[in-house]
Amino acid sequence: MEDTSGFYKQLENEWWYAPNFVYHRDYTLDRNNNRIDIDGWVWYDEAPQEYVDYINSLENE
Amino acid sequence: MNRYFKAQPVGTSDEWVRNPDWLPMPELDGTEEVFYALYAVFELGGNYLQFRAVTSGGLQVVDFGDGTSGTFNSGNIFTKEYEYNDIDPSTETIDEITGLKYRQVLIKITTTSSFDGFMIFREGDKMMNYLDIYIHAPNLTSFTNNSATTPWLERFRMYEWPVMPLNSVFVNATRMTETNIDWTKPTNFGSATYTNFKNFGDIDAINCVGNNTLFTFTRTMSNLKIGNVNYYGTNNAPFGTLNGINRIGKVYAPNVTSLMFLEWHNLEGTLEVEAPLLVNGTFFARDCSRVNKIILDAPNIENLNNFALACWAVSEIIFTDASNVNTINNNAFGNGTRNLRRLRLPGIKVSLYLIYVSIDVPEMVDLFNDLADLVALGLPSQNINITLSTASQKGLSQAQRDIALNKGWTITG
Repeated sequence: MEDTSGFYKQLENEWWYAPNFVYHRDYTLDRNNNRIDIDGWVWYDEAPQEYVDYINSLENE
Repeated sequence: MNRYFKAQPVGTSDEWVRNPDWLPMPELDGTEEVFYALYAVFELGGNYLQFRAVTSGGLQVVDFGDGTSGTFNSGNIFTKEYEYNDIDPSTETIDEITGLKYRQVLIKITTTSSFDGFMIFREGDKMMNYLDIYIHAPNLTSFTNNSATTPWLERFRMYEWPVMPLNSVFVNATRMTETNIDWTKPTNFGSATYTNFKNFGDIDAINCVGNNTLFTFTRTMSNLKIGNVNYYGTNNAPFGTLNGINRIGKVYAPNVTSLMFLEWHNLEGTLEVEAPLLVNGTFFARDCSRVNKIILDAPNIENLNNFALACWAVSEIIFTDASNVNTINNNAFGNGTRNLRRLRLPGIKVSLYLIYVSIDVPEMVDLFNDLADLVALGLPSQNINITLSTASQKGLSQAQRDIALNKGWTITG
């Protein structure tokens, strides 16, 4: 089964996904050390359904 | 029996060699309007000639090359069926590819006025047996091939090319290899289907304007080489379906707002384009699977969706200015461009998806330096996704990441 764990962030019209890390000038997220929720980023063990729906909608465009 | 003619199978780069057994074509000096055609009369029969010339008011005067001649009113279709046994036996030649035996006639069509249009026809299922055509008709406004197939035609020249569309002159001209086309004259190159052209040189298509395409329904010109191209029209696919180009020089397209080189699977080397009004780069180079470098000088470009999708070989994509880009999907550079090692997008302000690409640390730093300063511009953070890129796998230093982060970007991977 595909590993879809990682950090997800929903914006107004898109989703950002980072399987391993997020670097921002004010914070760093790392799948091994820091999985806190911050600035809209949320850790999921599996891709949330809303993200899956979003990707499907892109592929159907 | 002729064994000198070297056939030109599609895909070779051999120079065209005129069959030395063919009757010579007359030299033209521009003083007489004339249509010359060397024509094959096959032993098997089926040797029909059907033709129509429209003149400015005069007659069509035809020398059929077999000792007969005729005079026809402008616009009237004339037909001729040649008999093999009536043709000079000294002109006998054997086609090396098919083994078919033919004799030759040199057809000459003149007019008492000036030529306006030519049309060649087919007679039922008979093909037109032109071998070599040389024309002087500077006032011609049309030359149409009315579904005739000209599979034997190898060379087509004009003493002085008229300004006109070449709608269908080369329809199914399987062996068509040689032309002296003056690219400043045609308004398009028409349906040059199944031709064997190898090299068109530079194209400065000053009369191909508006929505006209430089080529239309054109195919099977595999291994075709083209020099620098100036296209002044506005069509987003100026080369039509001419996807057999192997090499092309720089394309200058000053009037297009949308442009694509979709599925040019045979193109190798560099695709360099200057298009100052280009806004829409959707599918620009999608499936150009052998191109290894793309250079785009298009400072007004906005949309890069699917820009380089499935460009499996591309290693460099260089924009001179990407500051107006507002739309990029994750297929623009991140799907199939695994060989991408260098990407320059000066002034880019929107999120980038560079998944699996081979951009190494130094080139990623160059790209970070290209990113717009979102903080200074008061814009929200954008994402540069470098998942499984070479730079991501090797690791970027904090100082290297700070180049992007301090400009308000988020780096994910």
